[in-house]
Amino acid sequence: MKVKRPFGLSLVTLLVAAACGGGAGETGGQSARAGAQPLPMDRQILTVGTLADRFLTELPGRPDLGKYPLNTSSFDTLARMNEDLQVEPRLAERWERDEATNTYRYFLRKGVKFHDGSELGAEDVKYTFDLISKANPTNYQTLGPDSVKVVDQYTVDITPQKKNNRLVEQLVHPIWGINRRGSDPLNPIGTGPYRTVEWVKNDRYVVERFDGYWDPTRAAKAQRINFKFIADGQTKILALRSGDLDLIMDVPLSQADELKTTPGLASVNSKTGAFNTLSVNLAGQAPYDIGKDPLIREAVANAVDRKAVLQKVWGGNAEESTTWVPPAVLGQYASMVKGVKHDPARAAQLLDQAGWTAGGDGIRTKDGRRLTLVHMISGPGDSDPRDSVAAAELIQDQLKKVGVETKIEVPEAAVASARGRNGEYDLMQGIGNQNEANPCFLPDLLHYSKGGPNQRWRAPGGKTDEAIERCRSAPGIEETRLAAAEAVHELVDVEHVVIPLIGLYRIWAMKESVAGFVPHPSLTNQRWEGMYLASGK
Amino acid sequence: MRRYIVRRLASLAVVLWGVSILAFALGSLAPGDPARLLMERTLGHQATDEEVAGMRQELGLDRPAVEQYVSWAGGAVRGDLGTSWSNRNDQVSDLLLERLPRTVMLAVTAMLTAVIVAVPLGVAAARRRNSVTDHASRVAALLGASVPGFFVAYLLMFVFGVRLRLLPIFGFDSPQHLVLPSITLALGSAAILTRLTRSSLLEVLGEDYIRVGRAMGLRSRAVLFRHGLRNAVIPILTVIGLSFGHLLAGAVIVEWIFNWPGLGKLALDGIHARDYPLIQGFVLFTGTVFVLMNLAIDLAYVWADPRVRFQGQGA
Repeated sequence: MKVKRPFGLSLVTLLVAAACGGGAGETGGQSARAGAQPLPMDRQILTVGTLADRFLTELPGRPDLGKYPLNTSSFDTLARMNEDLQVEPRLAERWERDEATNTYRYFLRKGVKFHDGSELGAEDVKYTFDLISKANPTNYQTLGPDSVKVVDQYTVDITPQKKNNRLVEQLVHPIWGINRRGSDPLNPIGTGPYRTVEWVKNDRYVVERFDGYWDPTRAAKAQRINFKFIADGQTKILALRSGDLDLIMDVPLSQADELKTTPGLASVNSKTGAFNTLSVNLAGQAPYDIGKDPLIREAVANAVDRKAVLQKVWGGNAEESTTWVPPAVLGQYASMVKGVKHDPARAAQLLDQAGWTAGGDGIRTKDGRRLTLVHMISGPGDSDPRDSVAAAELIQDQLKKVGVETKIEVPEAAVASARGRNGEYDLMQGIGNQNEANPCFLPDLLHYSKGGPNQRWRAPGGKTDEAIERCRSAPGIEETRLAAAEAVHELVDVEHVVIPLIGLYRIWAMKESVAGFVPHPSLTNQRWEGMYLASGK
Repeated sequence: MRRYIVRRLASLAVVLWGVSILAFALGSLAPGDPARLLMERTLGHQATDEEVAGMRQELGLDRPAVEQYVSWAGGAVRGDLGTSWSNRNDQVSDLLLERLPRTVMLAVTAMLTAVIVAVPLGVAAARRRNSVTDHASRVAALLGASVPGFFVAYLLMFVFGVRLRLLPIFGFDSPQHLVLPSITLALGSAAILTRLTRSSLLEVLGEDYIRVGRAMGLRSRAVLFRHGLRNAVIPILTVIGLSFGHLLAGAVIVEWIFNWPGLGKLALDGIHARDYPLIQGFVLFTGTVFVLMNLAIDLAYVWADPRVRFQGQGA
């Protein structure tokens, strides 16, 4: 059984593919034409094709505009997560922590100007963080209304409501970019290298170079960037090829190879920052309760040939991964996560052991029930599911060989979310992104069983919870990495709750005249100040 | 005539009531919990049941469906379609009115394009029946009617944007931006109009008064245009009117693909955001426009064709 794909869309893809010549673009680099000669500043106007407009402006008090999910480089955070997924200071020169009081003291850089010319101070940090905690009182960082205290003009104390050892790594998320105190979040004033010119919902976000930027090494190299919200992926690609756009983000893998060979275009990959994984439902009611049996989970993990999935579906546009937290974040402990080797004989043996015997058509049954798993693909509403569907079809064939039948379903994002919450699936294939530098971020968010009803993929037996709790309470980053790796090991190697399929590269395509672009593994942490238009080709 | 108009207006009210129920039911029957979705979009992470319950109360979704409908429909009668969930500061009616001119511009250009292409082609096909022109127009109309709009859109983008670099392929910044979306939108209507013009004209050309005209020595050009096309144009005008309603409501996919900021794109953005007041407002608004357009055509038909008027009086 295969999932039907839109015929028209395939035709269009073929048409585009057929038209692509054999020219060579720049590929695989970290930075496009870093040494190229820039055009004069008055000609430095770039148009970037982004995803659909998903700024969270429903609550006017929440200061997301310009920061998340599209980071327009209009703001700076106290510290940032760099392209190697490590923390580095920005608006805060340094910080320290008093473990006894759970208080973080940040020392702000002096002389930093907002876009309105005023100087950054501790009151601005308080204003911004109070806005966020007021709009989202249950924030995962546990900041409350009294968490931020101004010590003096350039010093601020931040005390989470609960013990939180990883606040520094959490506050690198762009949402924590600092707004000017008293400013309207819908007319954002930040300290970033670009200042906001206008935002037209669902159409564009325009930024202009801020001449008073505090850090000359990261000053904006373009005069203006027009971010165009284009929800249709095919339109975005055609617009790049027609010259209407200079750069497009998050190129679908199915199109990446075509664009790499298109004359006049170049593409760059980021390091791995996102992962495509298969997670087993542990909390479903019949008929979605098969995953509760550990033998079934282990059998599925053994039956999936991840290498074949990587090679046949993603080719050179992704990498093999045993974990779904970036190895750069787990550090030396990443090797603790081994991943389950492809072993169909062992899978068959485990299924026999679980009492599922092969029926007439090869599909196993037990007490009259067929071994059928609902394989649901979930993702953001505007992401292209074709690659995931192709992987699901391959996995379907692999599981069928050991007597397991799957039904692939690709519901619309909101429906997938509702079904995920209700536990109406057996296997869920989705994409996880590392958007902050906390090693516990993804295990904690998705797998801590005491974290409420949303942690459907918790590992039974309590060991994962213990590891996550150690991860939370570890005083140093190395201990945190170790505990995070232990949690991931438990989930992948021991309980087989998560099957990491591949590590995804973020792929960006651009005109050859675009230079200085440094891709970030986390889409929401992408910065734009280094990008400019170069003369020549 | 007056009785006819009163009767039509009464039936119009019933139709609009049905449309309003349908529009409201769309929101209620769609899968997924809008309160949870909105709360999670606001929070940026998964919401607790308490937070969702709070949002449900804030949006009025905790009230019985009938009460919600009465409240919404009552507002709609007064021109208040509620506040958009994904644009919390904006009234749905303001959003619709802001986008309407852009969609009207697209639909009018598409309709003019369709008429300019289809009527001469249909006349030529009728004039040279079973000729190469006739067969070619038949094939063109068949293709126009059967090829999906999104495929035509990508094809035009590829040819005129990527290959020839003659026209921009997305956005709303200049008159050139109107060309590709309006051609895409025009194609289906042009196909229907071509065939209708041909068949209608052939029917009229077979009438006795045309034969009489010819027998009296009128020039064939005068027979065709002054007597033939003039009488054939009534059903064509009807279809143009109906097609215009379709174009207004049917520009959704074209606007999405070309990133044209009209009503259709607004509706799709609303669907992705599960913005039910916006979706319901869009359905009710376009439904109303469509029904009013039908009424206008019927009235124009009565006015233009005395036979209909007299039939109505006879009944």
